[in-house]
Amino acid sequence: MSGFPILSLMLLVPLAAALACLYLDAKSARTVALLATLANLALGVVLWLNFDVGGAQWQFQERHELFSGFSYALGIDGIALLLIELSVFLMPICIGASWNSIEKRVGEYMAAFLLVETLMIGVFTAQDIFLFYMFFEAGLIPMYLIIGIWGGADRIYASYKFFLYTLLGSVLMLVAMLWMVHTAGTTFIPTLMTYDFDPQVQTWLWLAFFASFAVKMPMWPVHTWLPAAHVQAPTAGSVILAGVLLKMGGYGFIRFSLPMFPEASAYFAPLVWGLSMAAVVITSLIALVQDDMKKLIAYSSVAHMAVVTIGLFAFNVQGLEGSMLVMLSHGLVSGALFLCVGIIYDRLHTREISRYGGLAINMPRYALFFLLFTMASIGLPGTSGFVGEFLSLGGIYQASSWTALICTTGIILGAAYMLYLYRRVVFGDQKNADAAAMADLDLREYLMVIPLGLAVLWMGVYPESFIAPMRADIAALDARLARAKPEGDAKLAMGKEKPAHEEAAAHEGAH
Amino acid sequence: MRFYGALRKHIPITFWTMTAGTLAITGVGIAGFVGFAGFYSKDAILEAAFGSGTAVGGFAFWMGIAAALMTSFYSWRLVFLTFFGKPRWIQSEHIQHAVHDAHGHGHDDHAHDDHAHEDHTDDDHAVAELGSRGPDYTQHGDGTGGYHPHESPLVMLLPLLILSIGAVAAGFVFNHAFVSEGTGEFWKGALVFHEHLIHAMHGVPTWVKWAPFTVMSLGLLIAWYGYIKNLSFPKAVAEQLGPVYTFVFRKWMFDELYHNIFVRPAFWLGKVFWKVLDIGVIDKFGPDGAAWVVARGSTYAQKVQSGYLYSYALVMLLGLVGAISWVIAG
Repeated sequence: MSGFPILSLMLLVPLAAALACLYLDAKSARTVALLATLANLALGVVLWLNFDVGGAQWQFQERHELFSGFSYALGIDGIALLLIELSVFLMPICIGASWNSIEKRVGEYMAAFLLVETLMIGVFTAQDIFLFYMFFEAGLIPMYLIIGIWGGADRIYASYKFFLYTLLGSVLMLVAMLWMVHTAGTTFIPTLMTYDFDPQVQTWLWLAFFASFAVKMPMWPVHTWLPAAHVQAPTAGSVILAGVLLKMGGYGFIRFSLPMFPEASAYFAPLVWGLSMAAVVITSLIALVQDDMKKLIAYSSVAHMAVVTIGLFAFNVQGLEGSMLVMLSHGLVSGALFLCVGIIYDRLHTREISRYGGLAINMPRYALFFLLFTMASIGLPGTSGFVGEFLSLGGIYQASSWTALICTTGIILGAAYMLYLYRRVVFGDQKNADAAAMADLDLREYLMVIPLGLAVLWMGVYPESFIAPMRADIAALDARLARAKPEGDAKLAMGKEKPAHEEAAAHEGAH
Repeated sequence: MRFYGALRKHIPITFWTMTAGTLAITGVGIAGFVGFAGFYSKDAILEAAFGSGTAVGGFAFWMGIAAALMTSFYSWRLVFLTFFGKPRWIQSEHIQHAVHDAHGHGHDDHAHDDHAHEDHTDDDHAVAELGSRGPDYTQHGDGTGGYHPHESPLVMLLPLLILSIGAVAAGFVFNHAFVSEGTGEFWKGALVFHEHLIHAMHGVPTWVKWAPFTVMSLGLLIAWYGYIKNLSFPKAVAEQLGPVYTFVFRKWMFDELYHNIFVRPAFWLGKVFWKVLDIGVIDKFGPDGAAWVVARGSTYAQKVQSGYLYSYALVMLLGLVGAISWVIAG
């Protein structure tokens, strides 16, 4: 497998299909898009199977010098691998979700989605800092079009808000990148990750990167673009937005902010904790009072992403692994929840919670899957949501017990708003005749929710599959952060050994 | 339960499994000999609590005895109200609707659902009345309302049967492996085997060993008196207790407390955070504010670039005057 440019191929397949879709009629554009995303999913499987767990940090590397230090450099570590897998896994589901619901400009729509896939994979594979920036920023364009053209009634406001919010932060990041490349003399990310910047300058660089990643994440209080974008985006747009695009913020922290600016990260950790605490409590409570299903899940995403940031800034292996798992889990679960909303939206064309009710009676199979994803969102043990949240909170507890305490309320509030949503939509009486007449899942919808459900259970029951590829990378990051690690307030101590005589008594009793 | 009664003959398998469960949960058994599943655990816990000899242990013992009394009373109350006595089915609005539909225009599942809501409110009224006046379990005449319940399907009966086997025999079969000497093999140190406590447990006075059985019988007796022998007794008690009955009937007001302490503030805060903080502050002074500034700013900037020669000439003239004044003044 070595030497074969599989990463380039994974960028090329959706890009070529995107170009083709521009010139195809609706029916063939759908087919081409589905085949291309499935092909990329197959490539993703090949990539995972050939990824040498415990091997070199950077694998599948490709590098071509272009001009003045700028190079086309690709390569992945375990962290990037998992996020790529998430992306290629969600893409065919997105195409499936758009199969019937998108009727106008199908070719262009599919092209935009395939372009998003190329750019997402590009973000996670780029090893040149400017190449990363290009992929990172270019991803805005197709997403802006998807929301602005195929979105709901208020799509123009939402798409501009989304674009300007995210662009503004990123411009500062570009300035910081230019400075870094000038100082370190390289654009190669793995080198930059081990370059020690002057701690004083780190502060400014960290803030510039934070401006971009915090918006992308999104962290409170720069989250208000997210509910607007989600509500207006078509179902598949919401799935990919919540599923992958939000993870770019977390990926940015784990790839740039933490390893490149350890001292500044430690210095600003209390800021991140504070914003995360505010996000968990405030956005969870806001989610509780929403009447719009998509807005509710959008606000819950902000709360879940705050659990990612506390894990990242816990400065220990538990927290870092936890935050990665929360990202992967949230990618699956929030994507699935938006899909569940989309399934009933396709039937009734409303996102008002009060227009539904009693769906367990006429859509029992839908109710089953919706329940699984609701439980996963709450973080029920056995589902993907539990593992990551537990690790993240366990990690932050060692750094700041107050942050752990406040953020744990997110689990309770999460149960409150998700179960309240589920109760109003699925249980109770069939208040509305049109909602009561809706048909249960069809084959296309089964093919979308079953893989998601299996993945959620897989990650919940055997998370080792997902921890193993990134274990060495997390350990390396943890070692790099060790010198700046803030002293925790938890002061955990090992339990005392049991007194010898009690032990003996216990054994006597036993025999 | 208020609307059941006399179901023993209609759903016999459910009745017998329910009885097995009740015998187990009330801890029926003969000390040192044999008993249902609940007997072994309950007696072991109560005897150990007493045997520990501490004040806390003694308190736990007496509380446990009180709980055993109440468990026995409410469990048997459930069995007697549900399976014995006369049918009171007709008192249920739900049954009335079902029977009415069956006679009127054919019974179908939809009728069930259509009336579910009304039925709910009827029940609420009934509950509100009960809270103030106390229950009425008397029923004159045929209380069936022409309705005939049927036994559950196998999918329900099989689990019931399997579980009732456990309720009857699990204690007897597993007691030795779990709580007697020689438990080491099963627990392997997961639970500490406290030898002194086990000895103390076996050495408790005889009255302690018989106390659980006594209160169980007492509970059974009260339930039998109130719900089979003298059906007006519960109502009399409820009336006698008055506000205490209402308070307990309303579940110690926990629902109201939680609603006021947690639910309402959470919703209020959520609304404030959303409407005031997110929309009123962050959006207003953030993206929407920035957009407003840009829009206003460009309106003014637009006016300056009007394209009219005379306005440009005016600005030039003003500039020139300003510059000359500055030179002269300087």
